[in-house]
Amino acid sequence: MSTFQIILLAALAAIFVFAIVLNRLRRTSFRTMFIVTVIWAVGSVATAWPDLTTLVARAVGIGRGADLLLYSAVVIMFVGFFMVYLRLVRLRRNITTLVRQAALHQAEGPLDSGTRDLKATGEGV
Amino acid sequence: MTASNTLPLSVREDTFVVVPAFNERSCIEQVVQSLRREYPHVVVVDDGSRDDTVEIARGCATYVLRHEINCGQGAALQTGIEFALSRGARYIVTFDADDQHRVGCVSTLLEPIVRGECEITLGSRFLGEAINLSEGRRLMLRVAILFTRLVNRLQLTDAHNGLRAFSREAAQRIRIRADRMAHASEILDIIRHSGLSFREVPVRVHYTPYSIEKGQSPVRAFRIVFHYVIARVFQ
Repeated sequence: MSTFQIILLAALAAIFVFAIVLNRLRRTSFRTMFIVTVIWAVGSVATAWPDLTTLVARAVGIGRGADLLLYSAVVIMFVGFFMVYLRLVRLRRNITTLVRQAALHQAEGPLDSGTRDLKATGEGV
Repeated sequence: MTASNTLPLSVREDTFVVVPAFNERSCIEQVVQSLRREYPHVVVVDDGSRDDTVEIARGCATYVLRHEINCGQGAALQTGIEFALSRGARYIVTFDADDQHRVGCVSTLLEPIVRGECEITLGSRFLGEAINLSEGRRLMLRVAILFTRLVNRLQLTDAHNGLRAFSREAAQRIRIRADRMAHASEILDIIRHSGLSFREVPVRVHYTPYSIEKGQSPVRAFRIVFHYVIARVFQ
């Protein structure tokens, strides 16, 4: 096992311990913890036995395990960006609702008597 | 000016003209004053302008509402419409602040609604007149109209024209979710799904160098389409 693998495994282990501590403290949802555990497990296995990724890659028609990781990372990141974008859209909508409520609450007017100008000139009717 | 307005005063007193404004200091006063000569209720919704639009509006508009932060034209229109409804408006007109619309067109928009012939009227510069319309912009609008026909499935002669009028009942159905410019297509969706009767009426749009600069570029047109799709798919 190379030095890089050992460092990476140690880092993964530290992150996992951190996630468990956070889970205890803030009681993150079961779903979040489940996703974190799966990612951690897959990452650890791929680090400890890199050849396994090549086996999986071959199975889906990609030459090397590293390429498979790269491609899936790109896809996962795009999905992630999009989810963040949707969250921003929702956030904007919420902000707009707040801004609108404030605007309606502080509406000014009538700033001078609405129909005076028209009646003064005797027009309309 | 007033004498040429064929609408009775009672109708004009029941009409609220909503003017969304964002950094419009150079035009807003003139636009609002010309509206106020004929319509007593002019609502300026300042959409977080960084210039002194809101102070100028306070000097001439009947009502001034201010978005503390910029939320986009769609959001400003929705705010203005909700305000007008809360003040008992029977008719609501939307009017751009950049001086490309003519006050005379407002009565043209209102007349069919007042006569009870439809609930919504949409201004069309291609039924009416588009002064100083450049070839590039004409082409862009043609694409937008095509988009409207395909996506909104409404046979219209114009798209993204800021001049519209709603009856109170119609305005109550309008819920603009797209904050920015995609609201124009969104309003058409609302019209189609609600089955509210509408009509296009000829209006005059006068392009000034200022309004062209504030208008939409082809690149931004693509962004509008993107925002529209997002608003439509992710409600």
